Amino acid sequence: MTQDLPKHARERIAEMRAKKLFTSDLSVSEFLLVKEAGFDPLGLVMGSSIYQIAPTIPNLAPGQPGCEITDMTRALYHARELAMNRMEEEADELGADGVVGVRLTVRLGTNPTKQWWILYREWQDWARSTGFPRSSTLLGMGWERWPDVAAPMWSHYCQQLGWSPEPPAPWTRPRAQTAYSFGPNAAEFLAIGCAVRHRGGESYKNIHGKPFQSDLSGQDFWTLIRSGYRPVGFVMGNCVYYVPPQLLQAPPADSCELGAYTHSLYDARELATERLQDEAEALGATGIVGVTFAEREHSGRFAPWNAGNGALQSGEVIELFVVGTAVVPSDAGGTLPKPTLVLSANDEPEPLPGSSSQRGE
Amino acid sequence: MVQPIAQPGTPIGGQGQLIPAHARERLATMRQKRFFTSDLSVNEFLLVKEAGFTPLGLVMGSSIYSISAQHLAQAQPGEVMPLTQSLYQARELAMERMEAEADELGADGIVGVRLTVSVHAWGTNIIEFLAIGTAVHHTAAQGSFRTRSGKPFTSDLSGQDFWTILNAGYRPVGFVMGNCVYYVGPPAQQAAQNGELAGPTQALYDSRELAMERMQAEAEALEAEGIVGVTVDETNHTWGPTVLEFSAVGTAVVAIRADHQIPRPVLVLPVGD
Amino acid sequence: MAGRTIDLARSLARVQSGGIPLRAEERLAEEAGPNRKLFTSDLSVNEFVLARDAGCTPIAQLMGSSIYHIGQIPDYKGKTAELTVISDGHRTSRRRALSRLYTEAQLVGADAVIGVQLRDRMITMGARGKGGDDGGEVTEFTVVGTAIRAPFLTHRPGEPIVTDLSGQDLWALIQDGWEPCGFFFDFCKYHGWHVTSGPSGGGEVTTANHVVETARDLVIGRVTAQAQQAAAEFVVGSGLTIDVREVPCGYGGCTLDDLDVNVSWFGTGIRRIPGWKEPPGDVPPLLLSMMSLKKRRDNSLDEEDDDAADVERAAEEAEENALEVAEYNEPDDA
Repeated sequence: MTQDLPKHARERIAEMRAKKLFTSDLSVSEFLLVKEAGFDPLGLVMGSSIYQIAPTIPNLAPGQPGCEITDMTRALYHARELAMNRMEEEADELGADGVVGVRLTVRLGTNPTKQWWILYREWQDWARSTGFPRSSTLLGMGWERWPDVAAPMWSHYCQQLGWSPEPPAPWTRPRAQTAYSFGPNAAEFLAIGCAVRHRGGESYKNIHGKPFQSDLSGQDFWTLIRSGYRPVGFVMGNCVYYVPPQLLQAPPADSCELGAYTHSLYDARELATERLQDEAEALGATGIVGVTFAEREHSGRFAPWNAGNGALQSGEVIELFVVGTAVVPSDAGGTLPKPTLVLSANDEPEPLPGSSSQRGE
Repeated sequence: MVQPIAQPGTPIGGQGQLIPAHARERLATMRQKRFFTSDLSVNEFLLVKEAGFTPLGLVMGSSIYSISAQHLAQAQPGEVMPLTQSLYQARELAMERMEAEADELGADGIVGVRLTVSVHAWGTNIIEFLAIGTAVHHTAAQGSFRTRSGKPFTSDLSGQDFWTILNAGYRPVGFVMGNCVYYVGPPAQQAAQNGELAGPTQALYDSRELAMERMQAEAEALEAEGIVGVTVDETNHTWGPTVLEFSAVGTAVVAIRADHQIPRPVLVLPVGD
Repeated sequence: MAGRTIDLARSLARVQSGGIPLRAEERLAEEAGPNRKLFTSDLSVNEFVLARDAGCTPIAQLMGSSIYHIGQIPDYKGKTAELTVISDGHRTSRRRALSRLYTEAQLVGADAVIGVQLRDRMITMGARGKGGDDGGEVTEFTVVGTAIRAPFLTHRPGEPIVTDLSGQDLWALIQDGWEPCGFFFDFCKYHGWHVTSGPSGGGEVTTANHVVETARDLVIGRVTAQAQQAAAEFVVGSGLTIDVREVPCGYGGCTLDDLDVNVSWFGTGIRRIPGWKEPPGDVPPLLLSMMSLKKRRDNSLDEEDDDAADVERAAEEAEENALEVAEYNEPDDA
């Protein structure tokens, strides 16, 4: 619903429409290729959602090998959906046929213990490279009190170099990675893309009458269109699966496969793949290209974060997701000329930081 | 309606000049001796010339600002307007000084603009904005590519992108930007169940959109047709996780001819790795 | 989950014996059958286009995975040899994962699996005692790739070719008359006793070099044997990694250290396409490319790193702790 979009979003889109001012986060090459493929970039569209995802350890019967944490799966799914739907809404407002170059990013709330660990490692690296003895930097289980060792070390170092007043230590610098603080279990889901419309007025909307979304770059979009296909949607399937600690155990001397754990991983993948395919079928697609398969394991989702063997106490949480672009053959058809092998005399230009030539090719 | 938040630049060059004395000397020498420095690569240099422009020299501008957190004594989460304006002015000032150098060289515009922010004296909330680019002028028709207000155009396009976009019937008019500093507020008490946090969602979404809207307003002021290469970023600067600055930057363009046909691309597979 | 219930015990038994779970088997059999509705592939658009130009069609995205517990080994102080328990463990987990990928490929009736990507990481770290790696860790080895139909590939029916060549590589090779004929790998963990000297002396440490070379030769020898069996003419692909670490020898107070060497190699074998004719030769033109079909950059969903990176660091830390402890130990029995 349009009421869902914040006030400034509606203003901005209305102005873009009124003044016919296009904005795009496509690089120059992408921009021109999208035009060459017969589409006009209309404007940058985005959607976001800040979502609370509190994990719960499922109660498993002793023999059961592990199971999906459906609440978390649904929560992750819902959060992404909210962000993507708002982006789609903005695109619809602009009268777009679709959105290309969709980037979906997830920023998790910072886990304080983990941030502390990262600083500990930074201090260690500095101390070793500066020449302090290794033994003085190994704090083992008491690592959390590392500033007690680090501060005097830094003071000593500054004194030796004659730096006075003492500057702040490197590990106290502002972090390069943006930190968010909405709460320990909150995450921000952000979707950004460039809305486009077919110049000739042909409808490229999907079967629900909404603009298609795809994570294809400008180049990939051009190639896809010219080879006789068109994107119908950005499809995803995910699964959050819990593996209880006993599945990680084996007699110490035995070299053996952990069959039950392996089975759980396959189960998670089946669930995710099924959902991916269901989404694509719902859009009437004939195929999915560019599938990215991401599998991450987090034992720290329940217990306080603990490097090393946390999983042996709390169990493992497997997060598996697959995303891709669903496609159908286009009525326009298309034939690509045969590619040529070349030896380019062109160097890859050094992208200027922050410049448009950094994206796309 | 979005109000412009630009303020006139502060002269730092003595006698009310915008740029320092040594910079003026250097630029005068470059102009006289037709000797240019630039950080364009060889390919970029050739393409800029191909496009009908001559590189004149490296130009830069910088500004150092103090962004203290005193404004954060406020209780409410929301935009911190003084900080937004402060950071905007900091960038604007750096850009203006760079443009002034380009003006001294008699340039039509600046390509390859990089606008970077760095923190030098950690723990003191002082940041420096630096704008660097290569000034160029049109070889045959000098002065013809300036903006409608007679100033040199700016763009973050590389040499290759510059050539490409000119060939496709567009020209850059300005490097446009918009920003918004937002105070998130103290972290909420842990919510009972999973679900969207509606308040923060609307707020952050809105702030990003505001930054983009301000950028669009700048482009409209330049009477541009559109903005390419937009990047939307966020950073904490030196404030920690409770404050975020959203910024949107891009290059505004206008059409120089009605059609934008490009030759149909040839598909190639490079055998170099 | 879709309404089908499966016999969990039977499914687990399949996995124990090296196969894939029942649900996966059913789904993949469907993908190959006449009711198949859509293809999935992790080929990028460019690869997809090139693969089609070469006469291939993607069928489905496949995975093979194995989570393996490496047994803790008894004391190996004083030995210079391959640590066969650990080597075998790694090799077995790789073999199982690849064999599952292969099984999936057979189920969907593929001619080949291309663009195979490998991922090897630690889930929990093992014991870290004196003398270096003692085993006990749990590792995960996962491979993913895209199954394709490629009628021109010569292989025995029902025996798909697995390769880590990308769509681009495959296309380029085929233009020149080469085809992949097999996927080879090996892993070796080698330990060298008292091969590094303490702080004194400079120059090459010849015994340490020898240990590294032996380990490498073992792996190359075994991979070459696999290649010869598959009648490959060359092995391409640069999946060779050598990891060398200095570790305490386990005898407290000793100034000489040991060396721990891990060598891992994955490669694709290629051979001439039988009956292929060389087209009239021409020099590739020099062009300013605009529409480059190079490999795509990795599409990553911007999330925090998962535990693997942290477990690796914690393991390093534990190992360093052991090192320090060993160095300051009282000299014990010798």
